[in-house]
Amino acid sequence: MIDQALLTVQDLEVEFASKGALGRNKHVVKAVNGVSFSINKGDTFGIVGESGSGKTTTALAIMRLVKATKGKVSLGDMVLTDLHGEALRRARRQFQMVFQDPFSSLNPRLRARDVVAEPLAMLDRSNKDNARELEEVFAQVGLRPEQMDLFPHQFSGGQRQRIALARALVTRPELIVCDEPVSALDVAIQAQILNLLKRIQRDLDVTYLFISHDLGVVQYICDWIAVMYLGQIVEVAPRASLFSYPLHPYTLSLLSAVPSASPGTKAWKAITLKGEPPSLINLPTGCIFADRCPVMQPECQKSPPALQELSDGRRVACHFVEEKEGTVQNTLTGGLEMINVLT
Amino acid sequence: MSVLKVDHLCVDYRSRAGHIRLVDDISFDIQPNKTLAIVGESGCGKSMTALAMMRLLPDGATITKGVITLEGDSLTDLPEAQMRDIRGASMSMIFQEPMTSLNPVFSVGEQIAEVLRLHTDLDKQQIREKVQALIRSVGISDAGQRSSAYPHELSGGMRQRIMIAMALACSPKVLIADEPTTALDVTVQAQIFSLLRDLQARTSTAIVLITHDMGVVAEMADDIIVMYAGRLAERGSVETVLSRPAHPYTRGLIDCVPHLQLGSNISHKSVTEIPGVVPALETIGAGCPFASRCGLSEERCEAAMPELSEVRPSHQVACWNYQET
Amino acid sequence: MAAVESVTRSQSARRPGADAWEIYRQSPTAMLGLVLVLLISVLAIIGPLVYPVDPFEIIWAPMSAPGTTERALLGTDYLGRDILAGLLVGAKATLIVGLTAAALTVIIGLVIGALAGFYLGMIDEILMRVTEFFQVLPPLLFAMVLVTMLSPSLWVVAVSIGVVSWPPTARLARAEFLRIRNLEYVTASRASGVRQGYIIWRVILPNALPPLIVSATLTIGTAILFEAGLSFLGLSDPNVMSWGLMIGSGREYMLDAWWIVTLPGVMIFFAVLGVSLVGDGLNDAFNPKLRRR
Repeated sequence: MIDQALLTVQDLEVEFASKGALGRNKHVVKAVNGVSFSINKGDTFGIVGESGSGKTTTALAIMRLVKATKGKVSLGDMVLTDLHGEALRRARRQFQMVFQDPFSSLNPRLRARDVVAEPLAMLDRSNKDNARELEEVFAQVGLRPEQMDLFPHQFSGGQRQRIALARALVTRPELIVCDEPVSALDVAIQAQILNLLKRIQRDLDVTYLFISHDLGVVQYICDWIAVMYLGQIVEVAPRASLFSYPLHPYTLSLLSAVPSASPGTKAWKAITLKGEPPSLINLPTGCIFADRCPVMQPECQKSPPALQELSDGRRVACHFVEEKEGTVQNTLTGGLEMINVLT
Repeated sequence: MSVLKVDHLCVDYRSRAGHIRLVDDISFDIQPNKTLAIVGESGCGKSMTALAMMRLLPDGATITKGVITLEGDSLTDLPEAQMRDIRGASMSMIFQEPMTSLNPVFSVGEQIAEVLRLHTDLDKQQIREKVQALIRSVGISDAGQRSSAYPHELSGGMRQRIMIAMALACSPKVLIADEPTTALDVTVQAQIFSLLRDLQARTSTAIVLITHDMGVVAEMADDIIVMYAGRLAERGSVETVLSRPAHPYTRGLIDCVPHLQLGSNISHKSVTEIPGVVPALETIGAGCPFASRCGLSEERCEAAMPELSEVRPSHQVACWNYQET
Repeated sequence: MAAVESVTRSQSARRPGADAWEIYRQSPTAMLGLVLVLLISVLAIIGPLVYPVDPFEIIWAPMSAPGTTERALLGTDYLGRDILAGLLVGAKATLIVGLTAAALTVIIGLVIGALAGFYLGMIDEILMRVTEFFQVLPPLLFAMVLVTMLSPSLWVVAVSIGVVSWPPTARLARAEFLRIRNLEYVTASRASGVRQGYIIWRVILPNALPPLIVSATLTIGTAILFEAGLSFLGLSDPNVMSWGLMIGSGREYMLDAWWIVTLPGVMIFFAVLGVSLVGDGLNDAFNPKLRRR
């Protein structure tokens, strides 16, 4: 598994200095705190979490758009965290990004053609090559050639996100980081973009890092999923295992909170968590989730659990996960059937 | 006995470019202690319907037809001064973004007190006590301290709680909630929903919930109306409409979102796309506005708008496929 | 298909500027401003060709009122020089000073503001301190010193007005760069691997321009007033006819011959009114909130 990993993130940390009023009370906040994972070529790896969990900062740090204070990110043989200046700029053709809001991520003064052609500027190629490339990529995202001359404000949200995807695809990157690519779109349009992402992956064998807060979307598109809370990964698992037996109490609560669209038949009730996530400025000494955990034990407040690795490559940070004779379970929460007991 | 009745409501928008019908012939009513969901994509007229009920339509938009009655009294031809007495008292509204709907320069306690001062005869001391009680009632524990906080000092979920406290200050008959949890995280959304359910059980307030999320509908609502391009597409109880949707648009809205499935036998069905986008309202002709995006579209769909007709008791749909049966 | 429809609706590739012109056109005051500015520009360019009279030549009896002689339709000044000729030739000087000063203001302000707003940190600190230094100088006094020290030619006047009036433009440019550099499409450009210079001048600048254009237009008005002020104080080139010079030299005869100062004064009034209305109109036209969706 490790040998075919395309993207490897090791112990990534991003710190922000937050100033209090009048510049006093300087705090250093770890928005991303020791995040490690790897993505296999051609897979879609999802990061879910709520606002403030550090999922977007992780994406931006991998993209080298915010500075990582610690850790190593490598894409194939290339160590991204070691690249600087011109070398980094040239390496960017290998990893591109699609942003959340297609209304703000496209330069309003450029025509669709020029928006998409922007990353080609670093490739030192002839305009004729570029023209062929542009036509191909427009077709791949389902836009017509005559739409290339329009300006962003003349497109609908879904079409704008197609342009953004074309811009990310045009250099034929190996990795595309998608930061909430459908959450700013109208419900009916989300499916168009999700299915397009899937089709492009099938056709071009591109790898996605997919950031989202929407568990339904993540389940639909991701092969592996990491759950983040307060800058740390609390659980990483393949899709099938995560949604059939979530091991971390936070994953369980998160899943239970999603409303189901089939009335009367909903198999679970929401676990209502107490309060809100603590501030990153003073993290609890024990498990970061202890304060809100529905099954908190005295031990949880004393020592932080390690992110232990289980036999199928799955990892979880909870004191009460056990693996016995090939079956894993959380001794406190049990499986999914426990959701209704905990509410 | 319905508390709020909307009867053949039409809202028009006039501009130099011409005039557009934003809401076209919408009727519904709502009982105390019930929740009605209004569902559709953006631009379908759901927020306009809500604003029309509050008589808070933006400039250029006016109610041109229809009657809205609150407990038997018509709101449509009420003078503005009397309408002001109703807003915030018998009818109140909460919005999607609680940051922009709270005034940043006053403490949240002060803003709740203002509503009470406007609509009640309570004295200073009583108001102070009532504010604390309201803040506690929306699940904020340290009410004394929180009431002197300013909006920017609170989290999104906290701010939405304050908005709810404000909206419920005068025990309204009807609460209109326009996408109240869209800007919030799922776990906070779950908290807000359980709060709204508790409050409704205590006060019998009727809730009009505007949303685009069928999951939210299933979780919260008793009845649903689905709007498309300003018109009613389907109407009925949540249970029937979600399990047996009659309008292709309703079916599309349910199927176009990957819903979370838990357990070991997950279906890997693709989500179905609704092709295209909502047409611009000025381009809609005589036919069904959904025809251009509908997989079942026929000639008659383009020719004329189908009437609302009964599929089964208290389940109506405006679709030609149901006209004969 | 609706998707097709939404494209056919806006088939032609309209630049974002096309909408701005549409809004501009609908404002009567903005159009009035544009007419005034065009009228004065036409006067400045064609006037002296159609009416080739030397404004420094004495052609008639001094202080003849307008309409009293065919030789000078708008009368003569205290030396017997033609006022109409003065107004026509003076328009050119006024416009040159106004435009040069405004251009200089924008160039200095933009470069300083852009660098400060994009790079932040140390560069920002230094550039903003420099800006503050210029901002606290009394502008008229500083311009007077500059003109007195150098020769009082038209260009020196224009440059000194430019040098004293760029700080607000620099602050505006800095604020715009600060705002835009954090927008997602700039991050998107960075992520796609384009060069830094491209980001500053090709991505951020075009989007920062609208408010800068408005401020530049308004600066033209200020510069015209400045020039008039300096001329009035006798600090402009006495060999180049300008409206300010006409007022300045005729001020002692104001009570006996009102037209000597009033006519150039009216011209200054209309010129400044014109550019201000244009600036106002542009401000509305560039305001996205007023734009049709």
